[in-house]
Amino acid sequence: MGAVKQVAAAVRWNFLGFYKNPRVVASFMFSFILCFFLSERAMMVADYYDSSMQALEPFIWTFGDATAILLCSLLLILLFLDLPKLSPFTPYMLLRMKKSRWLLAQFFYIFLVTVLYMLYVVLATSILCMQKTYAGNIWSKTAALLAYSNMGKDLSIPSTVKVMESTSPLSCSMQITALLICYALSLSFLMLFFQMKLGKKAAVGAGLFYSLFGFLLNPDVLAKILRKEEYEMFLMRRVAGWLSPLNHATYGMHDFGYDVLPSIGQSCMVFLALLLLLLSLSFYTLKKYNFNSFTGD
Amino acid sequence: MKELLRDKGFLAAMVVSFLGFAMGFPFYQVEFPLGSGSFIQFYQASLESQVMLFLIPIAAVLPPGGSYVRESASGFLKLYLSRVSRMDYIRAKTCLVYAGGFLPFFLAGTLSFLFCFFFLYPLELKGAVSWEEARGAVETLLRISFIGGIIAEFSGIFAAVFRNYYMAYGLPFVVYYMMVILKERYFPKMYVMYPGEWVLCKESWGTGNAGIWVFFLVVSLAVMLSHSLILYWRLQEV
Repeated sequence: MGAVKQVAAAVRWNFLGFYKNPRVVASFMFSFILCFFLSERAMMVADYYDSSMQALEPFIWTFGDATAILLCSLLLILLFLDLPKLSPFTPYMLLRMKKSRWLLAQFFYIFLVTVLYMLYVVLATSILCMQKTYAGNIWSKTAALLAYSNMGKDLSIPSTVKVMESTSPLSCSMQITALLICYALSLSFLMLFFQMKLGKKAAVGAGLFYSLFGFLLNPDVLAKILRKEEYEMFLMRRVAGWLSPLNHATYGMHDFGYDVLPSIGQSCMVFLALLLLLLSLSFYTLKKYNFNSFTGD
Repeated sequence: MKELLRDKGFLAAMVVSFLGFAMGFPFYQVEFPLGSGSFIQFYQASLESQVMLFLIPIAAVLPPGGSYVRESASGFLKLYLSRVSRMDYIRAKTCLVYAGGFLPFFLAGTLSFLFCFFFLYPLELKGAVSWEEARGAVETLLRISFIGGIIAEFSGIFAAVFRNYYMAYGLPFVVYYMMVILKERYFPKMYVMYPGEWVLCKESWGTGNAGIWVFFLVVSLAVMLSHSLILYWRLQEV
């Protein structure tokens, strides 16, 4: 019980001044603008068919695409630039609690901020498209028109008959949010590990490399590099779907009965394994971590 | 002015705006032989491109954005204020910030115009150049430059209020796009506060579109005055 209290106190300390931090405010504002740019496609579709959408459909169509996930998660690099949170108060905290509990508090802090950020993204996308949306939890006419046309495929919008038959908009958006959170957490945990191991620049570099790795491991890019023909694309999709963390976070790159791709649950398990690995590496690094800077921001 | 012209941010802003003009240039429309006066039409198209519209708030804040934060944090301000009066500093800073947003677009735009003239005009068929179109292009360039100046003042205001680089460089971009979002998503008829309309000037702005120049004048004076007042308030602490 004492351990939980200590961790909770450290998490609360990390959140002190969080909402007044200019970097945090700027990150959330940039994210709102980014949602505006990314949701342009959903609005274009609604305008094209001149029909309304379900409130969560713009989010589903926007963040069902790998590039949108990548751009959205890149802002997390800015948000987590100051990890692990060090301040003049940190030495006193470390005198009263174990270092492992302090690190656990950092992970909880990252988890809560990531969840908050992703919920904000869902809300921002819905608010930005509210002129053309309704609240009921049923797929819209626009989604049906997209599912039965080639437009959805051309725009990489994951609106297929299979998806619409098997799930509701709310459940689909929850699955996409869960995948987004998993991807964002893996990126943030990786940054924290490199920050502790090699410093701030290495952490930013690792975050960018992780994003670039996902971006380059795209089926189309892979097919071009390996000079594969159109009929071999299923193989490229399968390889990229399993290897790339970004594709694990992309809703459309999952098993809907057409390809041998990971299911949503399997992707979550892959992320969980990755997070556990980063967690244990960070705990190992903590033993040799030099707390030489307590000046904070 | 010398201080501004030597500033790396000013050069960066000029390069960014020139790249904006270059990326917005409709190369795919160039078909030889070119009709007379085409170079002005291509130039006008590059001024009105979406790329340019996107880059305006980025380039505008580069030269003056963080200058107050830098001067205040480094202690330079205290030293400087012992040599000049506060009012002189405020006057110089306000004008410098406005010029820092206005000039990069104006100079890069003029340079782009010269490029268009020297590379495209010799390839045109012989004929008269429409002075009406030329005036239109110059007016568009001036409008872009005014927007740059206003955004730069916003950057100066946020720098003085928050004394933070993120706010000085990031908030003007957010404010600019908030106006775009309001028009495009919620109030389609609210063209007066839409930056895209400020550049294109397609809607009604009074006889001979004189209203838009009055609008720029009033907004420019308002933001300069606000910036001066905030600087005055800040300098009382020094």
